[in-house]
Amino acid sequence: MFHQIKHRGLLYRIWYYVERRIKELMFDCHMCGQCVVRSTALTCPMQCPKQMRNGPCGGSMDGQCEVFPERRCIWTQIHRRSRRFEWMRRKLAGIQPAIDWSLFGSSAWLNIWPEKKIALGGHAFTPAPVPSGNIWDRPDAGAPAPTADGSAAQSNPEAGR
Amino acid sequence: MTPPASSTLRRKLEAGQFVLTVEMVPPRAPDLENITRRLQKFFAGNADGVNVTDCASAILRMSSLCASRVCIDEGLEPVMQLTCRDRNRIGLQSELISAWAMGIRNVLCLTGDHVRFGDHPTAKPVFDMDSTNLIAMVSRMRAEGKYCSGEEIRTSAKSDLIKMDWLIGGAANPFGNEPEDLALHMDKKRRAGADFLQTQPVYDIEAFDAWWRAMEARGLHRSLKILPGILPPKGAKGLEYMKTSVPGMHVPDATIRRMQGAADAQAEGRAIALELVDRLLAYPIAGIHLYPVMWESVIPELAAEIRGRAAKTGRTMDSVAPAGT
Repeated sequence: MFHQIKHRGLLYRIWYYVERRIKELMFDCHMCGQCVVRSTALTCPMQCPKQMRNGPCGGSMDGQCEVFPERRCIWTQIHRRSRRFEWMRRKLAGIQPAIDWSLFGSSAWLNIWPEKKIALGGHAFTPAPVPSGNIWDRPDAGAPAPTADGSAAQSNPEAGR
Repeated sequence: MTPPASSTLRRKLEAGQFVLTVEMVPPRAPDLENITRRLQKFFAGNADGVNVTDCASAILRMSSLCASRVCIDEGLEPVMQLTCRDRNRIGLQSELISAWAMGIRNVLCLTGDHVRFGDHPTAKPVFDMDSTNLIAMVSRMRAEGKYCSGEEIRTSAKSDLIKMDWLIGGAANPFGNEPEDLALHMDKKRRAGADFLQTQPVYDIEAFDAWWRAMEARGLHRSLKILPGILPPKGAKGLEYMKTSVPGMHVPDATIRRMQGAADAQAEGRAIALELVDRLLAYPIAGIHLYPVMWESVIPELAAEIRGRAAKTGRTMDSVAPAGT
């Protein structure tokens, strides 16, 4: 994975290393450049070897990681920590969008301001909408009639987060 | 064989029929004849859906897309597994439109096993997105006719918008974590667009029950079609290996002891599987997902038994067309 910092200038790099040291101490940060810890019980989900942002993979067993069994599963930890505060639990229910890898290895703080690449929540300002629910909720959602003009009625831009 | 316009599996699930899906592992060599032979011998007439794995356990095999197409040619309905381990969003979407064009209508969206366990542990694990994001991406293709980039799916600027009417599946591991946390994750998958769930093999009904209750508390037992997994153990050694070496497997020691003590291990394995089926049928499940790991010859007998037992509990089902129809 190419780290975006490698093509930045000296001032940016100085800031980046300060931010990185602070966040490494606090969260074991990976500098994904789009910090979502507020939605994941103040625990960095990038510690997951599969970089899962929405929940544990199927291999998480008894609190241990599938890939490195001597490690704890970060998602078990996120869920456990989220029980402390109601707001953490509430935020955890949101669907985290797919990672923007073009920000990997850059400063999340500078991406919020002044670069304005991401919103405060760590996501793009206009994230790709998540159609809400499955076909059993909306039997028409997947109707195969491919009409260009009737498409607006079926699209549901209600984002899940 | 012309592929159906929409998913037969979806029609069955919609009608509340009991379905049996069976996992099929593609060969480790360029050999279509191998797939055809196995499909005709074991799967035809038995499986409502053939779940074609996508390099499961990160072991290199023929692609799920290709083997799924062979299923269609043989008159069987494939459920194509698609993992995020080997492809980024470009590769995933390319695979999806290829699959749709080839008549595949069901997709099971998985994160995938890490390459560390496979035969190429030095390969780069991709994991561009996770399974929930993949489900959301497929769901958007279905609901809005748009790619991940937001671009509309059309052959040319003047042609009609194409909405791919996928039946979307997700995976669930009912074990190894707090049931309530697992249900929260499954709720995310449902909201992202998953229509059905297939679970890891179930051996521990008590643990499954706790998970089911957590799913019930969120109403997910109704808003998702759940197909619990059944893996008939062929021998005690294999079962022990799965417990220790296969990620996400939860096997109680009592089951292993029972297999060790059995005079006829295969008969015992079948008996264990059917006892589990009986207990699972007490829940309002949509069907059973069978994993005939290294033991495909057991499918016809087990499938008939499972159907018979499901029918006894008052469930309805279609007969499955045999090969070549």
